[in-house]
Amino acid sequence: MGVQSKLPRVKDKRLVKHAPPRVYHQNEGSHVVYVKSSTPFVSAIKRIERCLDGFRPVPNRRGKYVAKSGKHIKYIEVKGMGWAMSKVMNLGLHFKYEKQLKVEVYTKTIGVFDEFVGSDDETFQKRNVSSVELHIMI
Amino acid sequence: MPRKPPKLQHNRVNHKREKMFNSRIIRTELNDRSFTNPTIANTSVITFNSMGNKLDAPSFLKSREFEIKSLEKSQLKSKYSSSTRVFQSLPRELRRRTASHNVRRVPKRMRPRALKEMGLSLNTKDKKETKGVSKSGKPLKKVHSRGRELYRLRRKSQLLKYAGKHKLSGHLIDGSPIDIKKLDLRNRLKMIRAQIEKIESDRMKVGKKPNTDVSDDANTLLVKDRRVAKQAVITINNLTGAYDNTSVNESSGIHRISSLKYATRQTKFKWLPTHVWHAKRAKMVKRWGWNLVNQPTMKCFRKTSRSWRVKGCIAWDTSYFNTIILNCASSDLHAFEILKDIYSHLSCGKALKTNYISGYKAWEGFIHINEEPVCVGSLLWIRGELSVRLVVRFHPSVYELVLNSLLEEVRPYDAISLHDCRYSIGSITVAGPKALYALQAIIHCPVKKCPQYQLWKVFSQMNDVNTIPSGSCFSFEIDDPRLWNQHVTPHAFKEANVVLESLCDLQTGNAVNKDVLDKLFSIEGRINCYKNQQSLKQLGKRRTPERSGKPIPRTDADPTIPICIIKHSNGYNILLPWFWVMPVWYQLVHVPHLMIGGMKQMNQFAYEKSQLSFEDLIFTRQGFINGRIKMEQCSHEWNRKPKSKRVQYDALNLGSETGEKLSPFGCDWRSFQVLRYALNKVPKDADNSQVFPSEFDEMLNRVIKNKFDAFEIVKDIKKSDKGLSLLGRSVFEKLPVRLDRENETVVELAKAESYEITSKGLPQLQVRAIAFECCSRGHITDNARIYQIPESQKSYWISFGRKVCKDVRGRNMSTNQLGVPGSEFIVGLSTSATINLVRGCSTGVGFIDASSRLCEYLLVRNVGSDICQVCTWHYIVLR
Repeated sequence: MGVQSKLPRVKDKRLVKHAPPRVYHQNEGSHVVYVKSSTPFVSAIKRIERCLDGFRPVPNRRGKYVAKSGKHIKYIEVKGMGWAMSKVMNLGLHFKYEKQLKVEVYTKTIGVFDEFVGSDDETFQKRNVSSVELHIMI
Repeated sequence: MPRKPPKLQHNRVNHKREKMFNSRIIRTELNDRSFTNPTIANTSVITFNSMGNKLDAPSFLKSREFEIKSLEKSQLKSKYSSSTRVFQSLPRELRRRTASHNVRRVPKRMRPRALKEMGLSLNTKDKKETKGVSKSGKPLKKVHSRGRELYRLRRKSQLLKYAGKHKLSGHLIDGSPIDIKKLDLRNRLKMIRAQIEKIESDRMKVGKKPNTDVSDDANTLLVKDRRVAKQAVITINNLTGAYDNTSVNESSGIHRISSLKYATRQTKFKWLPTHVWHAKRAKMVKRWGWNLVNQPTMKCFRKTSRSWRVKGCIAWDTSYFNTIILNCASSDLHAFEILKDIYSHLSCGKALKTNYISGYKAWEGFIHINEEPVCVGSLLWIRGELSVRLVVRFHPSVYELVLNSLLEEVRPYDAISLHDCRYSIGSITVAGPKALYALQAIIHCPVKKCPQYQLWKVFSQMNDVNTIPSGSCFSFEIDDPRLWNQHVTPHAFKEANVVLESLCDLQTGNAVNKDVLDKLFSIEGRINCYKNQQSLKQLGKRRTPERSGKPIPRTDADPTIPICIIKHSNGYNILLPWFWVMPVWYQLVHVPHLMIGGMKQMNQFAYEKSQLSFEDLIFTRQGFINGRIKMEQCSHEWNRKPKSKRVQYDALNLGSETGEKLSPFGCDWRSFQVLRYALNKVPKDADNSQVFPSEFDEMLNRVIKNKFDAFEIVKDIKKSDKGLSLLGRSVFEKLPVRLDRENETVVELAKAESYEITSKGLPQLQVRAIAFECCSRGHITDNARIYQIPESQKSYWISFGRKVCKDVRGRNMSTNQLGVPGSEFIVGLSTSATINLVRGCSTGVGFIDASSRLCEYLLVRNVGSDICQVCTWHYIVLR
């Protein structure tokens, strides 16, 4: 696979970016963390640790030790695309070496939808963005 | 099978005591084996085993571990044992206020335990009762009639009075005399009912007659539409009583009395289609001729914030938004041009883009009347083969203004007809990541290969907050959603690539079926969709036990519903015929994780996105009036308090000044306008060091010599305004502020010589919408004042904004010490501000004077406070 050439620029039009399409999961928040370029590094760490905490067994009302987020999930996903990729990689390094957890890294390409708003019409195009996904084993 | 013998009562008491005892006890190991004290201590040879008083570390640790665990356990036990009631474990949606004493408010599976907690049991023979509940858990009979029963009794007494009145006068409604002595009350009521029926049937006969009165112009669109609309009101083709209530070229109303019993309902304030459903679950408010949902009964500030952006979704019944449809034949070019002109005027020329004019997308923005923005609304342009339609949806506060202005434009032309669909097209708005999922779960198309529906299905299960562009349109026909027992899981998510392709397809209008739109926006189409609309009873009969869990099979007689789904900035807006709103709503609210919202939630939604809600539109007349009303109410409440209990705004120490210069009860745009223009008149070399006695000209107007005169003149104008309004003259023919949308260009304030500072002589002040965010901690509230940073203190404040200023311990410093700038630095007011759960700090929305030159920071001070907060800010881009 060769390197794709950059898309031509659209002049005199305002770019409106749209989020990439993804599936809705009700309990996604318990094991998936989305990182964007404006997410502070420490906030992301705290968020991931809160996810990890959800899988640690704690005594319930009957004194039995149960994990809050269940026991079927094997890893926590940390996702980031574009500018946020370096931040995600740093997060991976943090959890691998500081926290001594097993971390897997996957690279991906994600398609996004761009809208160009001009004064008399609007045009659309698809664009590919690189992305990284971490699997932090629980 | 013999029943179990009932337990004795004292057992229950014992059980409770035992439970309490168990929860308080902490188990310990009394015989601790870790301390060994062997008896053979006097032996001559001391070995490790025979050593006295040694500590056995492993068993010591084990023992302590046991004790710590039992301590933790007992903590949990005592926490959960006696202090909790069973309904406390329910999620908040299922909690009821009366669940503590009425077991019927608790889900069935929890009832035995709830009864036990109340000291009752289903099996006991005792006659003990708790408040309002019998021993079997049923509520006791009420002593007084309440709710519906009370309403029924009142109606009865009113009807009796009504009948009594006729008895006295001795004639019926139409004046025909009756011999009342021969009739009893029941017969008299029967006669009244029969008369009403007769009037109705007479009307129907008139409607059915071929129109003889307007035979000459029978071919014009207007006459045809009028006839159809008249016919529609009296046509009932179903058992549910659904009919189309559209008026052609006039304002529509609900005139038809469906039941004599409820004749007095909805006289002044109309109901939403889901009114009865909402009235049980939300706080209602009467506004703009509607009974609207203000907020759900349950507290939901945090939940709303999560629902629209993280998980779940919010649904509103937005049927109160008015729909007006302008029609003309596509062959009539002259009428077409006029319609296009109206379309252009309403959007101020902004909706003339190719995508909107071709009907692929709906336009959303400010609706303009006489080039002035009046409210937020949307426009949909549909050009079919036979007809052209312009659908205008707008806020109910400006209903009369928009309707009259459109009527004025349309009236001279017979080729254009205006349909007021206020009570014939309803809508539901769903917002949040689960919005698409929720809609997909209840919408089923009868034609499986319908291309529009296929495209809609591609986006099933999609988490959509802003993936689908705003303005996108879908339209197709759907089945009655009540044929399905409950919502279904939508189809699996397609590959991301397919979805992206479909998104492009969507933009070229492939999801719009113009025939369906024709059905939805024409009177005949809506009448047809009510044909054979099933009542719940009818549906219940069709639902056989052997098909439980499966949908009721569709028959050819079942109607299809034309719908239009439009993605707006505030979520998915589903337009559908009025009497189909309730069935769809009822299915929709059974989708899990969907919460209902009211107007407050709508405002919060806009605020958290840093957009303007209705409450912020102070540059429109209705928004401005809304602000004035809130101000008066606030001032009234303040005045009602005793002097010792209210904040003394006049005595507030604000550094160089004392007291608030603008009204502390709200955003006082009038005083703000006067202040800005008066300060503009202060000479540059004025002596602002101390207060001098003011001078007056020959007209007894104050001459502005320094800033203190400018502050005084604000009070003068306030008095003069009050005088004018007492004389019965309108003060605000022109609003004090005007929106300036060109955020890039610098606006100069009018030259000091060009205007007089009088109640009528001031030009409008140009304002721009801004959103700001607090740099540090601090809670900014509504009506806060926005200050420009004075040049002399700029470096201090900016260092606070950049968090460079730290105290000895390296923490951010408080801004308490820095004081408050003078009122001459006020550049704006904040319309809504509070803690923003999205940003995690205080943010707000407000308006600033367009002529003010601000650096990257500004200061915000709450009313009645002497602390300023440093904030970053940006302009809000308005469409």
